Amino acid sequence: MFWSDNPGVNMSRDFEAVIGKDIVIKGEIEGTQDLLVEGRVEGTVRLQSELVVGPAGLVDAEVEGPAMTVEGQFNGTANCGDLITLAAGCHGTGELKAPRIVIEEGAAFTGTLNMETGIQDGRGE
Amino acid sequence: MADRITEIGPASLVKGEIEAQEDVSVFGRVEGIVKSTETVTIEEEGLVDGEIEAANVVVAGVMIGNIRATARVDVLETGVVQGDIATPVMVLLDGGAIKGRLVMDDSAPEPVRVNTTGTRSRPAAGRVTGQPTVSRTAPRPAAQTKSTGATGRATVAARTDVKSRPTASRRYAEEPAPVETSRRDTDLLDGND
Amino acid sequence: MADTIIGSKTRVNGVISGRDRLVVAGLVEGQVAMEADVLVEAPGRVEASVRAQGVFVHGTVNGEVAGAAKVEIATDGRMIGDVRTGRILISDGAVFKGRVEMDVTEG
Repeated sequence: MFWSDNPGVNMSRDFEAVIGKDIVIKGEIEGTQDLLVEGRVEGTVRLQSELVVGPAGLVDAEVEGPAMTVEGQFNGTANCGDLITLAAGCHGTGELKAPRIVIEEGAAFTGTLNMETGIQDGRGE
Repeated sequence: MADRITEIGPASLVKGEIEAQEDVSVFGRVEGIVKSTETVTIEEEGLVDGEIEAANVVVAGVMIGNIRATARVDVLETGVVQGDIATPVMVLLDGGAIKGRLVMDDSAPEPVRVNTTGTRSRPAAGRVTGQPTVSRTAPRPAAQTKSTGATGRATVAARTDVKSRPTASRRYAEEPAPVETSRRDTDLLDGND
Repeated sequence: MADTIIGSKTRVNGVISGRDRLVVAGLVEGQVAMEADVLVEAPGRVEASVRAQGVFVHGTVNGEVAGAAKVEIATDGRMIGDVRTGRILISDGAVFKGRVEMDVTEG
């Protein structure tokens, strides 16, 4: 497979949907299959399945879906119903919203994390 | 002992500033600023409401306020941070929660500066309510009182059994339960035998 | 163990309160109000008013001590400030300057 030379958590996984290294998509992606991006995506991604930004991938987008894993580069807004993982080696900017977010050692992200903390904002003081 | 490190106990509250050149662990509650050239850990039942500046910060409890680390921040499964985090290396485990801005910048961070030798000029951030009675006149040995021996000594055995009331089951409660140390000084005064 | 420990390379500027035993090996400035004992270890220094059940001084205390059931100033202790307590023990070699007021409750 053409992405199998990339190290990463997705190596052991089979993706039916892959955006290859030398593909650039500008626009809107919707789907129900797990999607691996090794190329470049700009625009909007709406999935009912997981989005994986592979080590060589670059996603510059507004993402909605249950889960997203970033091993490459992500810039934008992600709103996930379950889990966002920033894997070691990734670079990200923007805003992440999910009930679960995992940041692995070696990941780099600058932006806003929006998780439920159970702490009220307007605490009196 | 000279090699003790700093721990804020589970039934203790510190309001003000803690500055350390050693590790600081918070099992209780701190309202104010914690600075360390080493590692600051908020333990699972601990809470810091204020600001942390340290080489390493580990959050297993609750942090309300901003964190600046020069080396690394770990937010563990039970950790909650409401506030901004600036650090070169960041780890967030599944279960931990952060609400705020995260800035990861690995350009050389400014080292944490602490003052552990005392402040003559700086007041305690205006939070100290009582004026400490401090005499700085050169001390002279007082007349050496002969100890009357037995009278007091028997009862002194270290009170290791002091009740350490765990902080209430707070886990992500709306308002973290205070450690309830707010008995007034007068109570303390009168409450003792 | 339920101790609050201020390590030898730590300074606290503020108010420490609670029900843990407080051990000071570093520096505390401000105010201490514990419903337990306060132990000042050498070379610890307390520049604060202290309220506690028992106050045991091996290091230095500059400040008034009130409300304590017992105050002990050990041989290596040094205390400057007024003391109000139920019992006091000043060891041979200890340094003390201040007034002592003992609570006389019985007899």
